[in-house]
Amino acid sequence: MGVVTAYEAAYPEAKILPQPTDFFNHWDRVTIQAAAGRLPCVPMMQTRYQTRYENLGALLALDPLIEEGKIDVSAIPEDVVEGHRSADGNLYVLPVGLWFETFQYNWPKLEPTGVEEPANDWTYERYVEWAAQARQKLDDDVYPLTQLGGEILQFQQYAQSRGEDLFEGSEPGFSAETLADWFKLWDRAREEGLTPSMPMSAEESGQAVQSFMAQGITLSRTDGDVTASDLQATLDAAEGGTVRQVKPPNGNNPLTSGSNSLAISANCDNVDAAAAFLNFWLNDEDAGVEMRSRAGLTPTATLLEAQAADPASPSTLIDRITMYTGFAETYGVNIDVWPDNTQHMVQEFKKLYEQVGFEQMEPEEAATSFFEEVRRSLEEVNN
Amino acid sequence: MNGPGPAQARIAETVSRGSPSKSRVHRLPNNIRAMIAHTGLLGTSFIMIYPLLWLTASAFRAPESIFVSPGLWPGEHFTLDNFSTGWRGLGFVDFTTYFTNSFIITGLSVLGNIFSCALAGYAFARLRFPFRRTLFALMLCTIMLPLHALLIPQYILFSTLGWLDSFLPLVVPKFLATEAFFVFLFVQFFRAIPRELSEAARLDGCGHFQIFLRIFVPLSLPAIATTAAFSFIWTWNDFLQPLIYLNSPQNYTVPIGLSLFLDSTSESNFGALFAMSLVSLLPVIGFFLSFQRLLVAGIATTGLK
Repeated sequence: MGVVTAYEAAYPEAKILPQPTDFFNHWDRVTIQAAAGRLPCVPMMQTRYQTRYENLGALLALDPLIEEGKIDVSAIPEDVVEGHRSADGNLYVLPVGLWFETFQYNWPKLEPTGVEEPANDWTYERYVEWAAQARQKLDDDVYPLTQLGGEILQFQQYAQSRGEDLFEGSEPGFSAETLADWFKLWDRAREEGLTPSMPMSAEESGQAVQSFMAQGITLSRTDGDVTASDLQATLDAAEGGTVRQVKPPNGNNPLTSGSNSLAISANCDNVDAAAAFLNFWLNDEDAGVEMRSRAGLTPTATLLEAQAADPASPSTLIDRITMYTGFAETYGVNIDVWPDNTQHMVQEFKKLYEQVGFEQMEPEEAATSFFEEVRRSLEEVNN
Repeated sequence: MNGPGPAQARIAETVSRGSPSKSRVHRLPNNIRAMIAHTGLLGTSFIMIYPLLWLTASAFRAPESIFVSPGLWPGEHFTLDNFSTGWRGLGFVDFTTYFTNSFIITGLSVLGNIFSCALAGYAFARLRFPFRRTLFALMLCTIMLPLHALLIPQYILFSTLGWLDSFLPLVVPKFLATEAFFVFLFVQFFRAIPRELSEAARLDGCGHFQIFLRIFVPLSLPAIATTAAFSFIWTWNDFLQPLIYLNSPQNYTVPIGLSLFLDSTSESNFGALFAMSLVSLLPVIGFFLSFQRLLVAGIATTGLK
């Protein structure tokens, strides 16, 4: 909303009619609008959802507007722009907020154990070894790891550390063997007391402020970079520690980043104004200041530098910028666009692991089942 | 024949009085049983009401301390700031607007449902017209249609009419007896009203509308109250339809305003969310308490559960 206000202040003759809502309800609304061919001119998109709207023909290709100079993307790293390109060769969305997963741990709880701090190039196997060392030094009621066996985004990091990924074009990017190994890894961690029990873990809230780490039950967890400050505020209130973050455990592979992005709808009857608004969002310094929001880091290098140098920027934002730029320089960034019809897999994955964890299913059986589900879902879209 | 021996007499006496231990159980239950029952009920009630108590307590806690303890006493973290922060909303529109919008939409929906569903109910209960039974069955079938199946066609219809981002899609259908549940409720109620009453009114020269207005409406207060109460609660709490049809924050209702506090990709303000959730419950609780007696009577007389 801040960017909208800044735009209207810069262009008093323009009037933007925003349609704010929270993240998940946004998709309910946008789905109906797109199905009816009545999307707003500049709909907010996201890397895990955009393909559906691209495939529906609901979005306008932005390449001609970029070529005509109506949208300037010169200050955005080319690999970030190109990472958003659709399989049909067109660019339908441009990122306005980049986010990434991090491994978060409670430093004052780890420090007395004498166990080394996690590093950016670790893999999940290394974390389980680390947790086993920490287990011996921690109080009995503190677990080194949160149970992550059912987290598909963490499995993605694991798959990447083995040279695979979640998706490879229109095919699953991982093997059933890799997934079975992942399930077994977390089974082992649970059996060795490195994570809370399954009944406990099944009750854990997804919200950072209600997580086991916030309650001092676990030493570490994983989540989006934006959640660390909420977590820290809760720990501060309970005098419970300090959050430190490192790159998610995918070894030496590029940082996996998603983005909140903007598009122009195919039914928009004022494309030039929409392009001007998008351009303002990406390049205007005032807009950049407003984009200090926690919905993601601006992809525009100049704005990112300006935010980092601005004494008014909150320290948590500067930490995130420093972290992101550091990861990007050392490892590179991989923009993670999900194929259509794959969103439901987040919950599907969680349910399957719970069946493994509660010993209702063998890891191999669950892995094969999920692999087939991914293949089927992708096939449905391609047909 | 000889009478009973001493042993048999003792047995007979014991049987007639009951055993000593059984008689103690009989004397104690009046007090203890009631105590056990009430303790159990109180415990269960506390478990049921705990989320609401926790919500209330959290509304008075500093946001960063809300999830630190599951206790109900805010202690040193007590604050009223959540209410002022919450009422201001996210800066562009405050909760005065959301509450006003909710009251307008809910008030009109209640009126619309009562008026149109009662009329439709009267028609099905008392008028004779071709395909009445078929139409009634069809109407009942619409109860089984999930809202989501209708959403896109309705959205296209209202968009074509130019009604998007206005209250019209949320209110106008309520004046067209589209809530089959309430029509059914009125039909059930009207069928129980003796035909002699309407026949007497007809002899006095009343037409159908007058019979409906002068005989059926005054006798149907429990059904009207039930419709009003359910209509109020459902419309007040409705989230999906306002989300789809209302786009400008100036037109948002309370549930949408509340959802803006909670965002998985951005900062969530739980203190303000809980404070405003608490405030938003008050009209529903007030409405329910005001109409509680009629509501219970309405449900009992129409045989609804």
